[in-house]
Amino acid sequence: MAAPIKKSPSSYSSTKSSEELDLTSPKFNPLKSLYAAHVNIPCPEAKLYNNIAQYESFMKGKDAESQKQKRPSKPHHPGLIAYKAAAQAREAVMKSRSEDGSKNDNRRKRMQRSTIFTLMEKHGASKGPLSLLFRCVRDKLQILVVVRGAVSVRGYCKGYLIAYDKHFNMALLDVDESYLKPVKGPKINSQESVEDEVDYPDKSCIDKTDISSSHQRKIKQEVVMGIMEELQCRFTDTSVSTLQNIPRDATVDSMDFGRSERVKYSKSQGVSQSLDVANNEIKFTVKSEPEGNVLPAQCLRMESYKQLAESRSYAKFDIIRRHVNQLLIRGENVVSVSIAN
Amino acid sequence: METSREKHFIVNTMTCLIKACEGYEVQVDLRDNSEVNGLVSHVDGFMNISMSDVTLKTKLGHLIKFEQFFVKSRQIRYVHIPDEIDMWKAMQGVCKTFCRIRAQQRISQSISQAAWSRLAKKEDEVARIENLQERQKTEALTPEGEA
Repeated sequence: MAAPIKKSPSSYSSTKSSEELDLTSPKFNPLKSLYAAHVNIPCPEAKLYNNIAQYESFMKGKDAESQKQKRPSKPHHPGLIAYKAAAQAREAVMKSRSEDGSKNDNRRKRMQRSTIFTLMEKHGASKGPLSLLFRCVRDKLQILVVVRGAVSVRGYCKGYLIAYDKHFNMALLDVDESYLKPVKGPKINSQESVEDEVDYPDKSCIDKTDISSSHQRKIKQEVVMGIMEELQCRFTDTSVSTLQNIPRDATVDSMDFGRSERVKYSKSQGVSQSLDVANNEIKFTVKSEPEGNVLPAQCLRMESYKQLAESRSYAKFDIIRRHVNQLLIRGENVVSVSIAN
Repeated sequence: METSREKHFIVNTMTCLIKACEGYEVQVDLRDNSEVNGLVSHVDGFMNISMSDVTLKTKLGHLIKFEQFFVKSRQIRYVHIPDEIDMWKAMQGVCKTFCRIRAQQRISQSISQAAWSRLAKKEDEVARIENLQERQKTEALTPEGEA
């Protein structure tokens, strides 16, 4: 559409044009006013709307701006929200614990700086098992740590405890270690043993019908005898004779390993031991120790571990001892911790 | 750099002691009775050890050499700490270095917190001024109404 030519306002047309350009008159010509040089706007501060619908919603009070004013204004930054929330929480806590304000600060400082040393001290205050470990660290006691293999006891470590943690990882000083090492078959030559390498047969992978039952029973008998020997060594009273209710030369059949059997020996001093012999388990419970002597059974301890290990598999074991100056033991290998001597 | 979780583990468990052995020659006895002898190049928060110039003595007794070796933490039974290291002091040193880093983080945190608090104050002031203006407006209207 071609642009209209500007008309110079004449006396006749001026009134007409002014009427046409007057927004309040009924002769208002919007097209003309759009292209006119100057149009008198009655209220310049009035709000501008893009369409009539907007104006309508404003009149009803449902437009966006009035809604915004009704709603509380949100802070734009997410960090600001977090900060305000934290500040409010802190104020609430401070108000509720106005007396313990200093304790709060200390606790916060301590929480921020927890180290292994602070944790050890915490254990020292508590009554739990780790308090014993803390005591060993503090009093520099020599401890005995029983170490495990996969399914058996490997041995023990005797040393002075420097530090520990909740997993029972332990740093020991001046350590004497005794452990069981499986001895290979006939040859221990490095070259040939590659071919000779055979997995130690576990009872689990051997069919019970393969090996004669007498062989099995023989093993069990040996174990039982070994344990009874240890018990004899430990308790050197005359009650040893009562242990021999089962004569040593007794045949296995008479012992009847087929089902679980309890053989009780009661001592005159009130110590009772019971030997429980079930199919594959040999456990013995000693209910109370006799007064007086209990031999420090380090060698005997290792012997009993050795016999137990040998009873479970067909492997033979050697007891090996070595000394390490500083040792860190990973906690999952620890069976028990006790104070030596 | 370690994650914050790893730092927490280092500082709160015995991993700090092995961390102090970084750069030393160490013997690690594994769960399967084999022994690894070498220089500790890195220890992470979970006690995994990576070593270099390593001699592995298998449980059967064979000696095998490796340039790089990685031990998963679960496989460790013992770690022989070298005699030159004083265990207690070494652990304290490691804890201090890691706590120092945490202190730096705390400082940067407090700075950002201060900045946010200034922003919050500004917003509060603006809100206060707005409230005042509204109250003034309502007060202005009521005397007019009365009048």
